[in-house]
Amino acid sequence: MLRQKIIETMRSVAADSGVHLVKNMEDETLLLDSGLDSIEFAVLVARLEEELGYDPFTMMDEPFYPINFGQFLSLYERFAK
Amino acid sequence: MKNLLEEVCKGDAETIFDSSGAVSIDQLRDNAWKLRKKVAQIEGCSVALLNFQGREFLEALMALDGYAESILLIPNSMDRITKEDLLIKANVNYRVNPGFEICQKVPASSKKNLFGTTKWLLATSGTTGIPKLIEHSLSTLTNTVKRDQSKGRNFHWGSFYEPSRFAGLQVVLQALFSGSKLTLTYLNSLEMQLSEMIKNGVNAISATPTMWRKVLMNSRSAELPLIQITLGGETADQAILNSLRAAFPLSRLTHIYASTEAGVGFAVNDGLAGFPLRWLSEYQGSVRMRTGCENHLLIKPDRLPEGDEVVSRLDQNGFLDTQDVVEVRGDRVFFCGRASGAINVGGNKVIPESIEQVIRQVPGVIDARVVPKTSSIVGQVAVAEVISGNSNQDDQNMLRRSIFAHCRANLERWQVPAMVHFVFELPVNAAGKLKRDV
Repeated sequence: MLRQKIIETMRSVAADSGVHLVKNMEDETLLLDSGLDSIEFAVLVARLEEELGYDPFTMMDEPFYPINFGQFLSLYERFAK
Repeated sequence: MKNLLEEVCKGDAETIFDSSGAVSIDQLRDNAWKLRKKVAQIEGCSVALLNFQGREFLEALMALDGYAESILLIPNSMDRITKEDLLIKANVNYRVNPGFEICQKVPASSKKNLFGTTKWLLATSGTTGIPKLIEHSLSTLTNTVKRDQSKGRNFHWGSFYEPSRFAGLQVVLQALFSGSKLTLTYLNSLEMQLSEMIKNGVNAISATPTMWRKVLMNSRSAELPLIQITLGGETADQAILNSLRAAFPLSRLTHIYASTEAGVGFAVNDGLAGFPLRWLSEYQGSVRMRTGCENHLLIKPDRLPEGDEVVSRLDQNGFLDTQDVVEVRGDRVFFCGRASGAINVGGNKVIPESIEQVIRQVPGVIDARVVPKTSSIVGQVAVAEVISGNSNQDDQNMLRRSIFAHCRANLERWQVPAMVHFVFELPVNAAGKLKRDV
């Protein structure tokens, strides 16, 4: 469910930014290879905050920056309300 | 320069309209003399005008210019705390309400000796902060006011500004100095203001681009027999100029550059956004211009308002930093927006107004506002709020795609909004400008 939501949002960010998202988003897919760059990544987090009502990057005690999609997803799962 | 009572046109024709009917300038002048007699004790004192509107406001100005040491103009729309703050800053002796019943004598420094020129203390619009007081005089306020009565007679002015603010005062003084008719409407609804203007035959209106967009959205606007359209207070982009040109093909279209701090700078009449590049090197009427650090527009009018606020912003050559960012494209200088409102996207400065201008170019967009949203990744991102002419979901999705595509084609990557939200209304402040403080 959350996985779907995030992938869906990634798709819309990619479409609005005129870039291509990788076809199959696997847990191992590196975020840097996903098709989104750092600005689009910021857009993704901002949009997810509006959709989900939280931003895990502001809630972490220790700063952690996910490298692959699986880590990104688990971060959102960890702070899910 | 003489005082306002002596400068205004003479005439017994009924030219000033407000909700209580029509009155001539001669009648206003008579009433102003009576007011002076009624409150002889305020001669040479500093006076604050509170709660005035319509013809009473004009009479008060005529009575006090050249009579009081200073006049503090407090906009009616201002909140109580800000009003009190300005009253303290201005150190006024008397607070005056309509009817000139002196409601309160404020303990203040003793009466000044007369007399130079009456100071007109005006509040800045405070779009991005607390309003400041700027010290004008009748002469700095009427720098560019036209006095040709043979032309003036053809105009019937109306405005969506409060007359006690700089932009509104410009309209009032223009009408009084050139013998034009003037309709003073109150700040209730745009609908009521429009209907008052239509009823009275207003054919010249001054408003911000934001207010003009609202006027165009109103079906009654077509009933205005406009021959003069004046835009000011915000950047007039090509989209609004084109829309107004199409709606009122017979009208002259003027966008003016003016601010409470700098007074009137210049007017552009060719229907194009921005102004000609050569104006940066040529002496333009009564103002010199150049660009400064970070593309800020610097201006040097012949007569600047006085006081610390203005002096603190002058460079060594006497140029005032307007805090407006400009950009040269071809042989034209365009306004990008206010430097202070920039959004910081990962270290890149994004000026909201410049994105709004691009969004408004997209067919189907009526108005747009860009605001910052805090980002945990890049500090801030830009979010666009858009009024579309169509509330159908599919059409809005299509419009959203067009907006993103148009932004991508015309802006740097970091300037493209992170999100586009459709809204029914955008917040406007009392000066008729889009609100910037989120």
